[in-house]
Amino acid sequence: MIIRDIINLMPSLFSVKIVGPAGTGVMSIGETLLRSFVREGFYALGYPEYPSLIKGGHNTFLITLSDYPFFNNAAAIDILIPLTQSALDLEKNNLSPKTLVVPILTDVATKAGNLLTLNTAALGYLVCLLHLDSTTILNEILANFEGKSSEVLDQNKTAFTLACDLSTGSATQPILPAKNNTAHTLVISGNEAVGVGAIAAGLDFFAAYPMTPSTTLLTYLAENQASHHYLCRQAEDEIGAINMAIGASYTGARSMVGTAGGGFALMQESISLSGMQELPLVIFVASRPGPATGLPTWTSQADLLFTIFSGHGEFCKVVLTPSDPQECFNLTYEAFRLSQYFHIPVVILSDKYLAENLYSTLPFPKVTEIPANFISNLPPSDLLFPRYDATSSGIHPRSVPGVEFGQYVCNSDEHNSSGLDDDTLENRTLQNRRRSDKMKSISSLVKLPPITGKGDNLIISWGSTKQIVAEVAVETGSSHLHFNCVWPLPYNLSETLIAYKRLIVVENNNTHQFSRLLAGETGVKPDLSLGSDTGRPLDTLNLINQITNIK
Amino acid sequence: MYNLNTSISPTWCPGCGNFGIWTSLKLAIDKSAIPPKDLVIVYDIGCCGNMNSFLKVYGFHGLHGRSIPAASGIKLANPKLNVIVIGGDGGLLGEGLSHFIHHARANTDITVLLHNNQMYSLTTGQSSPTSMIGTKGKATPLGVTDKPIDPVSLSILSGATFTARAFSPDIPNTTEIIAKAISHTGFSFVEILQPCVTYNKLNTATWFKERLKPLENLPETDLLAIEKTAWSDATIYSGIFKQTS
Repeated sequence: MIIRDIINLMPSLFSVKIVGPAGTGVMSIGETLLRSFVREGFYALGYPEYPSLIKGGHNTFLITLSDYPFFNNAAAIDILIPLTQSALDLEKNNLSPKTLVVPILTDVATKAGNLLTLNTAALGYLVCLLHLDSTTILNEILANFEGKSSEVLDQNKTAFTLACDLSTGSATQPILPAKNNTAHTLVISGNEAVGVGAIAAGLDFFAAYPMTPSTTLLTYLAENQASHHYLCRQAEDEIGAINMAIGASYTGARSMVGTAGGGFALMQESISLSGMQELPLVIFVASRPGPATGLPTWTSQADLLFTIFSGHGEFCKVVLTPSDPQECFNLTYEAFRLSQYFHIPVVILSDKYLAENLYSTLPFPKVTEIPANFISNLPPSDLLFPRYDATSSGIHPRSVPGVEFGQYVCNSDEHNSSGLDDDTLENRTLQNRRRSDKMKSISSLVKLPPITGKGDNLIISWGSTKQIVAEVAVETGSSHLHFNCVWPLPYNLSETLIAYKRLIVVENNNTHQFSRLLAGETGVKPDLSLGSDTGRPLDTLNLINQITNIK
Repeated sequence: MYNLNTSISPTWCPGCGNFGIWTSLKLAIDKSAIPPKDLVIVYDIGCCGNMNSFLKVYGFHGLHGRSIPAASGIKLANPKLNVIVIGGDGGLLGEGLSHFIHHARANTDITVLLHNNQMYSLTTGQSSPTSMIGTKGKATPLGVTDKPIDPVSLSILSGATFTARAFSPDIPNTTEIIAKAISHTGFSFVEILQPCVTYNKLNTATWFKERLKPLENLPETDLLAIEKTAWSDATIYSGIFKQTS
């Protein structure tokens, strides 16, 4: 078996990995520790891995610390905290001579009077070894046990303190990065950032059916509905969720659904409905590997083309692909703006890696709500409101129930301007043209993203892989073009692409989906397509090797 | 009085039960004095759903089987609206059966009118979940063998707080039941038995008239109500089976 090389790509990185079976507290210690590190002044990324189990299996939480804003997992493990021997055994191939393995403190837990305090003991050992603020951290741990008996609190306090004392006996004193982080004080996951963006945009209605890795968005929005004046409904299934959301949108509510790849598959006909009825809708999709149930708790970018061409029939949609929490916030906010203005479905496509990573980031900017877009004052009329009349932009103002004289039929059948069924040739031609005119207006808004680097080779990526690919680009002397909007594509893209010696597309799927999209839309065929759908994040070292070795 | 008609003449077959339901619905809406701007009708797909072209209201003609969740979303987002669902035995009991049960048990304040003609007529004559055993439909030429669903007992069991059965040719009683369903706060369900003159040669208006009997009074418990919902060879009860707050 190969022991991973420690390649000093970015020398000021430091990693702490906590491992153990599900049910031993890996995720909660991981989060507590990461928050403590950020408070101490480090930039931090937390990357969890877990199988689809409630107890048992092998859960891991990898914290990478740095002295500047940097979002990639460290290549090597500096400190390993195993909570069981079996977990330690499973990590053997990931260790190097430099890795410090924290002892499994069963003795300490026994002395404290409760074997469940093992993870608290592990934290105590680490915190004191690294000379972090142990008082504050201990208080935070105890706060997590709010509601438990004072006996439990005492046991945890004892375990923490005993372990802390033990750590002074450690021979190694790890060297941490400089504590440069003063501003990136918000610790948040990709999904929570989407939730904040939705609330900031003025979310009125959210419905979802739980499905990994989108569920934490549902949980977050459910928790905050009372204090932020929107309704969050757990639906009977995905089709119920999206139809409730579309019904809500009909009334003028700013409306959103959340799901994962398989649930998105169930929603197809309804996405088409939103496009046909021209009702604004924001659709959040978090990808995981398929096909079918696939790998529920792992990451993937294999749903790209499926998402762009989702919903039967031809209609406008936008697909946004955020790369980090700032983009999760901003693009979700923009999704509401776009859907309200153009009366279209807008998809935010994320994946498990972005959804569930924990990042230190800047607090989000203050923004004003996106108002719901409809006319509320109409002149008296005996006729139905001409909701779908032709205009030069393809967009016509809409009325909503409750507005007098605004009655129209919001119709899934092909319809005339007031929404009544109409299958004539003239009407169909007119409505098709009007709906597709909207896409022209939308396309003109999409700008070419900035290109970093000065290399002859251009590496192209989209979505959650931005920082990983950025690192690869730097190490291979390549330029880097990253997309956070994959549909529509910028209209002047081909001119930019042909200027480079080589085009290399990197994405986390097996079938080169973005490559094929670029080739089809621009006529420029990428030279190389890299990546694979293993469920793991892209392998930085492999990519660097592959690109460096191109003849 | 608000004119509920559009300029479009109904396209239903002459003699279709939908004419009667359309008439009863308009009379019930008048009776309920709902401000026209606050009335929303959500139509499922089917012959009944074609009513969307014949009523001048805020209409939502959505996907087959999804009229109930759409109606729920509308009502939850704006509770001031009065929301009525028009659906058939295919949309509400086939494609959309799960939504029927879940939104009944949520007791969402909408009114669901089931146009039950025991047939898929708009798709030219397949059997439906309420077709009687032995029915020969286009896709079941050897005769239906599945036991038909009874939506009235299903409605009560699912938690709907208003459940009734009506008969489309009987406009006065159907009007009254629809009006009560609309004014009820909570999930109101009305099964409207509707002869289909084109595709259902068994359950004709005459066939129903030989069997229909009005309930004498509102059953006191769910169990007593459910006992009355089943069809026997001789008797089909109509009226209000359940009405609670």
